[in-house]
Amino acid sequence: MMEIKQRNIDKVLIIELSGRLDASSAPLLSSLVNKNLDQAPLNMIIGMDAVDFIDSTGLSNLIVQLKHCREHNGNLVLYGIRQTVRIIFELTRLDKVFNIFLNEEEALIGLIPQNSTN
Amino acid sequence: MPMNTDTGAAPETNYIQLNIPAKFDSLAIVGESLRIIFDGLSGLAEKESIFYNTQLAAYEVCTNIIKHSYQLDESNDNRIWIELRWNTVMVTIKFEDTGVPFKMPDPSKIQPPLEPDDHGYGLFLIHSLVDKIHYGSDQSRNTWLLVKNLK
Repeated sequence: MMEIKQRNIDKVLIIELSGRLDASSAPLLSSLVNKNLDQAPLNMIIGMDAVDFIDSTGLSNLIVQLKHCREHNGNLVLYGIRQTVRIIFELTRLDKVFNIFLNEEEALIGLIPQNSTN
Repeated sequence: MPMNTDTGAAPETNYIQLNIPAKFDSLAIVGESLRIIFDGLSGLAEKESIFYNTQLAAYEVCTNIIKHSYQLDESNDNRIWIELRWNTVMVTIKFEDTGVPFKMPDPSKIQPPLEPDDHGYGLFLIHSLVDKIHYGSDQSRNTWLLVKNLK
C-alpha cells in the first residue's frame, strides 16, 4: 500500500510517497509522472521519508522517472530516505546514481545548479 | 494459514504454509506473515534489519515467479505455494510454482547493472540479502529455497 501526494513549487514537481514502493504500487508513481511529461524542463523531487519498504521494481521505477526527467531536460532528486531503504540503494549502487538529500529544502536547493545549466 | 510446531527436534521449529495467487497484490501477505514471525522472535540483534532483508528477498522471489515463471499472467489459476519455517537459529522459506522454469545464471555473474537500468536488480538482491539460495525444477514444479541465518 502506497500513498502519493503531489504539488508544485516554482515548476518543480514535488511528490511525497508513503508506505511501500513495490511491484504492486510502482505503477501509481508511473501514472502520476506520465501526466506531467508535457513539462519541459521536467524537474522532480521525490520525498521518501515515509517510504518504509522498496523492492527492485520500486528501484527500477525511480530509474525510469530519472530517465524521463533527463529526457525532458530536467532532473530528479530524492530526499529523506530511511536507513533500511538507504542500505538497498547502497547495495545496488543507486546511491551513486541519484542525488539524495536530507529534506525537501535541501533537495530544492540541490536542483538549482541543475536548472541553471539548462 | 495453518500453523504447526515440529516436536522432538531442538531447536523447536515452527512452520506455516501459504497458497497465494501469483499476483503482485498478494505480496503483502508474505510480508505480513514474516512480520508476525519476526515479532515473535525475542532476543534477536538487529531484528528490523534482518526482517527487512528477509522480506525483500521473499518479495523478489515472488516477483521473479510472477514475471518469469508465470510471465505476468496474474490469473487466479497461477499459484505460489510458500512454506515458512523458523526457529531461533534460522528462517527458511520454500517457494513452489508450476510455471516456466527459470534459467538461473551462474551466481558469480550476478551483479547489479553497471549503468542504471530499469531491470536487473532483483536476482542480485536475493543473493545479497539471504545466506543460502537453492533453485531447482522438475517436471511438475519449480522450487526456490532461501535460508536466512538469525545468529
